[in-house]
Amino acid sequence: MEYRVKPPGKTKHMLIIAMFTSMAMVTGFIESRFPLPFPGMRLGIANIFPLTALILYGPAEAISVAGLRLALSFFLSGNIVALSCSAGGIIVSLPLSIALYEYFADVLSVPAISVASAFAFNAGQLGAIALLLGSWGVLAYLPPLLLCAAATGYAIGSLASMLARKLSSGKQT
Amino acid sequence: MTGKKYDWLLYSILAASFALSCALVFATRPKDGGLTFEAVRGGTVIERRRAAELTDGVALDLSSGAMTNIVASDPTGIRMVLANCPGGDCLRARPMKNAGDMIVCIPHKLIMRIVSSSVGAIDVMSY
Ligand SMILES: [Zn+2]
Repeated sequence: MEYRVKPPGKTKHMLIIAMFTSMAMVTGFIESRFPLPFPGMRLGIANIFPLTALILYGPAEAISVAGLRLALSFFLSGNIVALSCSAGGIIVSLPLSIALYEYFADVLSVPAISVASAFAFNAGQLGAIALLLGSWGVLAYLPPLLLCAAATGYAIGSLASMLARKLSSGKQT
Repeated sequence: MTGKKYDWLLYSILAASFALSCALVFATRPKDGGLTFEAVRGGTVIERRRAAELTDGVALDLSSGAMTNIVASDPTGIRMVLANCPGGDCLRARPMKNAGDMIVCIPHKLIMRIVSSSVGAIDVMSY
């Protein structure tokens, strides 16, 4: 909890959440261009923003950013497959990051928490695809996706932790 | 930014779950020998034949009702050539050539893959 700051005024707080959400949407759009084995699947780079919101403000803000991003991206793209994938990933990964960060931040570093969350995110996405297809055959892709998750999760965790440090030191509230 | 006291424990748990997923994929790999083309719709196998039978120019109609899905083979591999699913993601998927390759059409609940006795964790990683 070393970088957690008290939320500034209500308007400013809403503005910050809106900014985090829009940055997550842009990142999500960019990463939707990366080819992954399944349509609709993401690397999860956009998760950096809910994670930073969690470090700086808390679970409510992290859920707001992730939920708003999910809903707004769906309204813009109308892509139900991508929505189901991302939702499947976030439903398992966000509660895990929140639980790990809120209860174990003293003994676990942010990159480690982020790697665990990325594992859950990819497993959740693949689970959603398996449900959509009505077949567990796609789970053969779990090992390579978990390897990807280890790399992206660590990078996201390191970036979020840096971002949180910068944002918390630059603001006196 | 340094690690913390119990990072190793979390990383060990994650490494163990990765190993477990590899073991599961390896243990459940099909053992039919040679390359086999397989199409599954909604969990039911609707087409299974030796991949060698799908040579250049041969098309296979996997359509069902209003859902059109036609696959064909060319020198780059087996790919979807005609589909009326929204988005048409399957039409842009990479052609399948080796064991472990897969093309899915999510709106039509269709999975096509190439399997072999050598499909294991290591082969799947080379996609
Ligand atoms: Zn399709």
